[in-house]
Amino acid sequence: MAAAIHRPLLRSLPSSSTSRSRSLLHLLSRPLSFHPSATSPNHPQQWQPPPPPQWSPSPPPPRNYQHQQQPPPPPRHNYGPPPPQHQHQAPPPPPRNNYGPPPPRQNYGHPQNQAPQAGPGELIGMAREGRVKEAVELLDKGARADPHAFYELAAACSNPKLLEELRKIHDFFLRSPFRADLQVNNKMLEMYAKCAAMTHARRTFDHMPDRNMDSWHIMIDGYSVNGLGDVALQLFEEMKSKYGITPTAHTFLLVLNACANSEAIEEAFLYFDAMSRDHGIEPGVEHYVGIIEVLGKSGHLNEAMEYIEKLPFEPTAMVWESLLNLARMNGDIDLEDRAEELLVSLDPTKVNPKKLPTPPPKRRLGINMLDGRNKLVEYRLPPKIEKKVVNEQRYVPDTRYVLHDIDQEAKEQALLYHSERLAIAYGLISTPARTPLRIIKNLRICGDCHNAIKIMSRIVGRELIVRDNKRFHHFKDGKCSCGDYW
Amino acid sequence: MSLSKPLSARRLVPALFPLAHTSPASAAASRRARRRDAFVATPPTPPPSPSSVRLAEPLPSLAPSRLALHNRILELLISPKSDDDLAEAALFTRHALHSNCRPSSFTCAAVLAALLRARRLEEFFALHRFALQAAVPPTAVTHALYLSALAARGLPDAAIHHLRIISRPRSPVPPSPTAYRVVVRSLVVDHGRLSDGIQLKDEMLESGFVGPDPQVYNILMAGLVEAGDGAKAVELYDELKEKVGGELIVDGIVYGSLMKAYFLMGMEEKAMDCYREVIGAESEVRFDAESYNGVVDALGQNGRLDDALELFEIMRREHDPPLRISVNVRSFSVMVDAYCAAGRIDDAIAVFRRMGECEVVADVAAYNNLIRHLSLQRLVSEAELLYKDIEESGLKADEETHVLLMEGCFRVDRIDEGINYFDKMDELELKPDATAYHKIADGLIGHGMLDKARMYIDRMRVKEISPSTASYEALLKAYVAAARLDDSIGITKVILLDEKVAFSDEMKELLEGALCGEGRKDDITKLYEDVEKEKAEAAARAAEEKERADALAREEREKRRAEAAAKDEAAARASAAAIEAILGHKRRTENVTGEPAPDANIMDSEFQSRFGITSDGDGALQGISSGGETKEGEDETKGGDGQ
Repeated sequence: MAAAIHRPLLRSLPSSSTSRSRSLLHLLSRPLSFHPSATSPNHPQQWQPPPPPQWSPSPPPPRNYQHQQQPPPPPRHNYGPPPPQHQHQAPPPPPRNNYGPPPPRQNYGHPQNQAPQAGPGELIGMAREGRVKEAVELLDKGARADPHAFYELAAACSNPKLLEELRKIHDFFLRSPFRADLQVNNKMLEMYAKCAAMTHARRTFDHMPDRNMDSWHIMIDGYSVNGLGDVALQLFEEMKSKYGITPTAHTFLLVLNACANSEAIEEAFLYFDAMSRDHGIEPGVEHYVGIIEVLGKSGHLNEAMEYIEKLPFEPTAMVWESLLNLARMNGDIDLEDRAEELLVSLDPTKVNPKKLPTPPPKRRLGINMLDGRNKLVEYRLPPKIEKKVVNEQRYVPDTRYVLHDIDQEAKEQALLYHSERLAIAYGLISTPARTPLRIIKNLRICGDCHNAIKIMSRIVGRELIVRDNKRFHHFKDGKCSCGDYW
Repeated sequence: MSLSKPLSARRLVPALFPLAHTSPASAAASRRARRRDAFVATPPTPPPSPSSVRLAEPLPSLAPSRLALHNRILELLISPKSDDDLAEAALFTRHALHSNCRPSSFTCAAVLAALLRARRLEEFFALHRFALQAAVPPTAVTHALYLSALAARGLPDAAIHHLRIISRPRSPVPPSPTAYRVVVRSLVVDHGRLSDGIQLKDEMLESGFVGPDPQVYNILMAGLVEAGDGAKAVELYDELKEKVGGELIVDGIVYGSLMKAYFLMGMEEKAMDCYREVIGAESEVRFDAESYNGVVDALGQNGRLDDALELFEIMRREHDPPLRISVNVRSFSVMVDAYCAAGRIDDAIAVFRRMGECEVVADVAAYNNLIRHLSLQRLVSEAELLYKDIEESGLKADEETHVLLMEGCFRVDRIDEGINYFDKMDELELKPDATAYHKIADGLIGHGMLDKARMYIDRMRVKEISPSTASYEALLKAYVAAARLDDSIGITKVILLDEKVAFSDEMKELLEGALCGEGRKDDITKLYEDVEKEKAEAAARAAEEKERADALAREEREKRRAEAAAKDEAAARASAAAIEAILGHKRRTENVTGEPAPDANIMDSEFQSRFGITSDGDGALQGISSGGETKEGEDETKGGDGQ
């Protein structure tokens, strides 16, 4: 038996938040906290890497290469098409806003045909263009690279899809004479974290010849951004006890963030207290916000609000913005409105003009103590447990359609693997909600599957169109167009 | 902003800090032990082992498409264009659970919160169960919402049960303080079950997940004060103080109840000392509007109107919306109470009218409070003015407003008007509950209108609201007092037949005494016999009804079976005829070619029987095939049920 799924082209979800410009996406796109400028002075720098996203004229200008518009770096967790990967002879896409004919590219040809070995300048150019795959091929062919080139190449791999490239670049880097370079190593850690490959990051980290505070920060943050807050806390403990490194204020911020992602409320409070007691770091507003996020992300929104009310300083816009996002995350409409009101009153630039008024709640959630005053207490016999005749609806396997001579349980088992069910199951988990599914089967659909699909169409709210070798069945809302003629 | 006075995190939120661990390492160890069997994965990824518990995925690990879905659903929830938007959000969440973009636990919690907020409890429970079945892991928020919904539905025992499950020692998602507050409040305020509430508080402290929460203590203390047990309330306060390390309790919420408890015990000095200590300018205690209200109420109810006024002034000075909210609607209600306690009704009305100065909007509860005071003071015309105000300010008077006005009218002997207010509820599609009916029945009995009271109790039964024991007893007593013995026997019969109320011994004695006094002792036994008989009759009737329904269903089944058999028979006959025709044709052609077919008939019958095709009246085979069809018929009904 065979069944095939035909599904229409996926329409992506309509762009979100049309009426509200705010979006939770920013919580994701929080940049990894790596500040090249914050490196400790103990490590002399051979060169100063320019901040990655900045598009400044690079120190070694690529030969006569006309810079086009740089394609925007692909976002994390991108489900869209992969970033443009041009073949080496294919020109980059012409700019959309065509101001004139595309610039001549005589000198831009097959790199391997040019000089015997491409230099770091070329690699950097490619990295900034986002053409990482080509650059890796060049490296394969023996292109020279310097620390700066490695840095730029690694920085270009900001997408989990480019993990393979990142690993290759890392291999080349390890074989190069600059493998001990701290900046590049840190960048590798950061990019592995961005590619959601924390095992690679950890291996790199363990083999790094020397580490600075940034390396620790990147690792802790990488773990918590990838949802491994617990490992981040373990690493932090290791850093303190095994290596005896004194954490800084920034470290504690990252630790609080890790606590938020692993619902470690008690630890967050203990670390917060330890911060000023053991390390003499006075908590700043951002640390208090960190605690608020720990509470909110663990689902204790009311308690977060109470904490804010008891803060030893007047809550700032930052505090309210954090609460706003937490309320939005947990869907607490009333708290969100209150936070927004406060935020706008402190920082009028944050006003959201598209916001529509929230309807009033039906009744107060909390029960007033006063309301009880007018109440008559009544005593009754315990209510009889009434067995209400629930019109229970469930699927009962109909084993008459299994013709093999096997026991009842095996028959029910066999029904589960009819190809149309497998096809529908696959179709459901690979298409957006409410998309109709079209299934084509070369044999007759069995009566049990017919019943099962009727139920499925009702539960998942989709139109399931199944064609067997006799007819089309349109299943919708628990009914079939064949009128159970089967 | 001054960060100069940092308080220890423990002191700020004692509720969240059970003080069970002294070092992060041990806290982490206990958390890891709790989550040893837990895992995080998006379905359909199966669990690593059957016993492992799925945990909610942390926000940073959610794909952008799932965040987009979250925002899309929030949009429906926040600014619904119609009532259907909420239903649509719930339905869409449900449908999206079986798609390539599953709603996260956060999205489900958001929809559940919106459903609870709109008090659509049926849909709430349906979605909650559906999401659990679809392996959406519950979070602390989901648990708190579920407990609130159970409390709103009036199922405190179910709530306690659920709370105990999630606070077991190895629970991967421990309850939040909010969960305990919701359940304790439901127990104490709604159901008056103080001892259960105190027991739950002890369990809360034992569980090690939630620390001594001042709010929980406050609910219990207020309940104790209400029940007149001031000493126990002070005891609770001392316990709370001990739990937070013997220091001052920073949360101002407890002080109102504490002062009330002191006043109740006659320790006025102590109450005022406490007041001066916590309200003073250099006090570290944090007060919000609710905490202030408690203190004002404590002062006002105990003849300290001047202090209450002074504090109210402080509150109004501090009030700076939206940054600082220290006055809310309840503050004004509390002030109205304070003035009324001092007998200054006019001032109470004046302070009520000054609500707008603080940018506070009156709600129905505030109006009801003032109407209650006015009707207690027999100022019904003033109350009626307020009633008109409610409509003008765009609010809707609720059941309580009408009942209060009715009571006011009864108090000034304007019986008909009172009844009018009660009947008005039907027009406004309000649904008075058993308490409201009890109040009108009680009022009517008080004015000697027994028949009318009986009428309302009967109406209540028509509307399927079960009358409370108190209503029945009041009526029975009145009948006995008025020496209307036949009626009293009648009502007793109703009480005995109503399975939801108990016929107390006190009433029994009353009735028997009255009947014996009149020398109608036989009537009592007759009454009990009648009741027994009627009960038996009712049971027999129910059994009969069931029997009839079963018979009907059976008949239906038979009919369908017969129909299916007939259809099958017709089909068999038709196909037999067709085959016969073909074979006949074949035979004819064979005859034409001149080749005899000696076995044609034998083959024919063999062919026919092999395929179950028979000529009319071949019982055996017909039986088999009709049996098959009947099963088919049953299957169809099953399929129909299964939708």
